[in-house]
Amino acid sequence: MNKITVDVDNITIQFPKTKPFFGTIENSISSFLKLEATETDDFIALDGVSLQLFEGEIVGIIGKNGSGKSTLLRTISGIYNPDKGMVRTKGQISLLARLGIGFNVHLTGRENIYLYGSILGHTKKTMDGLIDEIINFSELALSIDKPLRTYSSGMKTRLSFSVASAVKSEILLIDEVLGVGDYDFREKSNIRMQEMVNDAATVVIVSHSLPVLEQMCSRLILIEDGKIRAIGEPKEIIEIYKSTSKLKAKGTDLTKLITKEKPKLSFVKKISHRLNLLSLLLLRIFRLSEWASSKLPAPKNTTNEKNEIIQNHWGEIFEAVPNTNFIIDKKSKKLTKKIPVEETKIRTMVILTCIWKRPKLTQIVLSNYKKLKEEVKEFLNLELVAVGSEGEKSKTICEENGFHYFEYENQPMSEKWNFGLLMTKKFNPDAVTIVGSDDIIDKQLLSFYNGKLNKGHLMLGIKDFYIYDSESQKLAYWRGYGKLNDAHRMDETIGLARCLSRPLLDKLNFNIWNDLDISRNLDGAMTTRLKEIGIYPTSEENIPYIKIDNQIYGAGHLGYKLKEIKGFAIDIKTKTNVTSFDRYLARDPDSIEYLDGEFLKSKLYDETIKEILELGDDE
Amino acid sequence: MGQSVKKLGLSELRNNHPKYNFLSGPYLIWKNLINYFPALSNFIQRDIRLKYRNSLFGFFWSLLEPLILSGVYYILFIVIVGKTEPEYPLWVIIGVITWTFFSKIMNGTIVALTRNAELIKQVYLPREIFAFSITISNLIIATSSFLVVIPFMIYLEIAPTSQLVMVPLGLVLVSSLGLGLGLMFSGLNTLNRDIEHLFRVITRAGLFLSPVMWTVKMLPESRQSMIEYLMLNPMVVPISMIRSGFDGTELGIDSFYIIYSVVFCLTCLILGSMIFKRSEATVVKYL
Repeated sequence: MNKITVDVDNITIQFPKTKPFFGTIENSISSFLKLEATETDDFIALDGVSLQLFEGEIVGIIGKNGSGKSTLLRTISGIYNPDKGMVRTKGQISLLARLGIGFNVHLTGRENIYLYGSILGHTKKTMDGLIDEIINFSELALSIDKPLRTYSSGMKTRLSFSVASAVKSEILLIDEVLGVGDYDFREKSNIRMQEMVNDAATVVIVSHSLPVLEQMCSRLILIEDGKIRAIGEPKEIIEIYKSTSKLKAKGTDLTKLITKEKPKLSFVKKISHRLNLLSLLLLRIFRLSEWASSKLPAPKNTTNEKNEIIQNHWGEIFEAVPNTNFIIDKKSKKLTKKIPVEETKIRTMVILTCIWKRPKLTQIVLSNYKKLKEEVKEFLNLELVAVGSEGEKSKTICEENGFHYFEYENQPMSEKWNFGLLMTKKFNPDAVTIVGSDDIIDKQLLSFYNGKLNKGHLMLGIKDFYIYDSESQKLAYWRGYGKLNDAHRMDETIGLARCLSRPLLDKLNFNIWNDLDISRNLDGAMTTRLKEIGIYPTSEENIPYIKIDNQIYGAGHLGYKLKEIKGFAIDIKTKTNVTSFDRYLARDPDSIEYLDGEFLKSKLYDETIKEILELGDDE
Repeated sequence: MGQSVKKLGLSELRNNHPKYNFLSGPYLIWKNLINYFPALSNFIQRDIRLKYRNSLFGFFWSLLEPLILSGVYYILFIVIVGKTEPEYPLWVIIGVITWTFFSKIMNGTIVALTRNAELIKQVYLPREIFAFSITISNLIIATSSFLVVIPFMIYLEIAPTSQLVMVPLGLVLVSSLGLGLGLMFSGLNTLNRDIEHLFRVITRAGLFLSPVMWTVKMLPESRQSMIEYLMLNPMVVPISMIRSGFDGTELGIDSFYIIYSVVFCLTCLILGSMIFKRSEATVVKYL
């Protein structure tokens, strides 16, 4: 039997959530004014953990983010003192944590080797004896006398692994730094670890890379919410880990994970929102809101002017006779029957999106469309088109999910989108629906659009949408532009899921954003472009009709409320979003209604919900 | 049972987090400094090497800085007081270097934990290393700054006497006061950053309450009764000691006050070490 090197005996570690008798001024003021209750309970990072590690084994620790893996490693290495229990170890411990820690970017690689070595507790003499070996192992001989700031992150990792593993230590703890660096180096470091194990050392690895752990470790430890859930054979533990993470999304109560309650806002944010609202209110009172949001007052065309533009571009205008299927020619007063556009035909609709970075989220969104395509087969032929800018990486993710992939540079966005729109022509679409790479729509919305396309409407869109914020884990419904926020845009649709029909696209030659060279407000640009050819935001009652190739079409930019048509469209916000969740709150807090997670169940695939919940705030 | 324990090697294990007596703080720190001497010396080298990185004058800044500051104080003083003694510029320079040294170690030590939070959370090493490396590197810089005194001494025809031994003694007192206060409050500073701002203000104000621009001997006869209050400031004695060390004059301070100051400074260091060691484990969780 091998000897024990680490003995963790029933340890508990708590992290205080708030600071005793202090905290920030902001907290003190807000708790003083009773604006929000301050939490006093501690966060329990490790809860009664006991384990023993032996000589000559590689042990892996797995678990979700925040489950306590790193805290355990740090406690073993002596950084944190347990509040209860005891940690006993034997011999020298090396903790290999985040890359570049303890390095100084202005010193050379060689100087950093000595510096980092001494931080790990080694003498200069020891380091003198090891320096050649370390440089050799790191394969950095050529740049070892250059300052560290010239190193890539891979080079830094190589250097820190080389130093940390150079000195024989009885216990080597590695915290999520493997898998950086190229294949050769990874192989080499695996061999090095194996050697250390052969020398009767204990290696502990925290990682999310399950295949690596399965290959290297003799035992795995699964940690969940600060407790050890299972210890054993890698294969078994990985099975348990995988099954629990699935179970969690299916079995647990979504209402608990995503709550209806309004998120707590910090004092400063509250004040800034109030100020923002006040300024919006003032702008509105002085009728300056339009000026403030668009910088230039948009020309307000009268109905006559609008009609003139429509006539210039499309010819004759007709008016609908209320409650009938007839339209009336304004000049000759001749009645014509509204001819429905071939209803039986299954149309081809292209879903167009542009992707950039955020691989996890993109994967979720694209795979959702793949499923949607199958689901709507009976009434709609969906073609999926995506434009990406990251070469092979983007291509793989798209093609895996049944998207046709095209490559175009990311900036300016207007060109990228326009290129995508041009490409959709290849698929001979009857309509193109435009969605962002973080937007998901449902079958109900597509079926509704299909119906409206059958009635001959040229341009469709929605006015409200659902938002999920992965950072705060909040689900919300945004009711659309209101009197306070962007009153002048009240009739317009939002950029998400705008649907343009073929006759309109032909008229535009599949060009909307050409020669614009902009990266923001692409929806605004589209609205303007449509107005140029007489497609104005309007409602179904007032929509003017036109004739194209003897068919009657509704020439307007129609917006619907998801809540009324029972459709679903959701925007998934992550940290890197351009329009943050906060913006909606800041502009009009009443326009947001929080929902609980249960709502998602009826609207999204289980798999998708699970993936969204696991998104966390990584991206 | 006993046999199996031996087999498993449990007896060879050592407790990673033994509970120590509050009073053993200074001893623990001393032991850690010896064990982690390579790290300490590397930190000091790094601090000094990087201090004047990318600058034209490099090391000369440690001479220029006190010279320029002293020049300003000198002019200010001439404007207010008028005529001064010929040694006055020398006194100001010594005062400025000593005070800068004090404020750098105290303020540096107070933020030692917060500034190195990333490293502290990722690697275990005794946290007092940071405080001591700041103190020692500043001590080295201050010592080299004192080179600027030499031309003044030559000009004033002051020959070094055996009193020069008071210079290192004074520096030791200043270091232990600054380091002691820093150790005492660096833990608190991780809970609330107001501490570091407070101490920065204290050092600014202390500049005027300590004999930097003035000396104890300058105090007029009529105000001699104030000396009791003045001497409450533990920095008065060390600064005066360093001055006397250089210019060879009598210290001229009652031995009672000297003892008070020495005891005050050393108590600060010892108490600071104890508080630092005691609060260390808790404080790391707030980083």
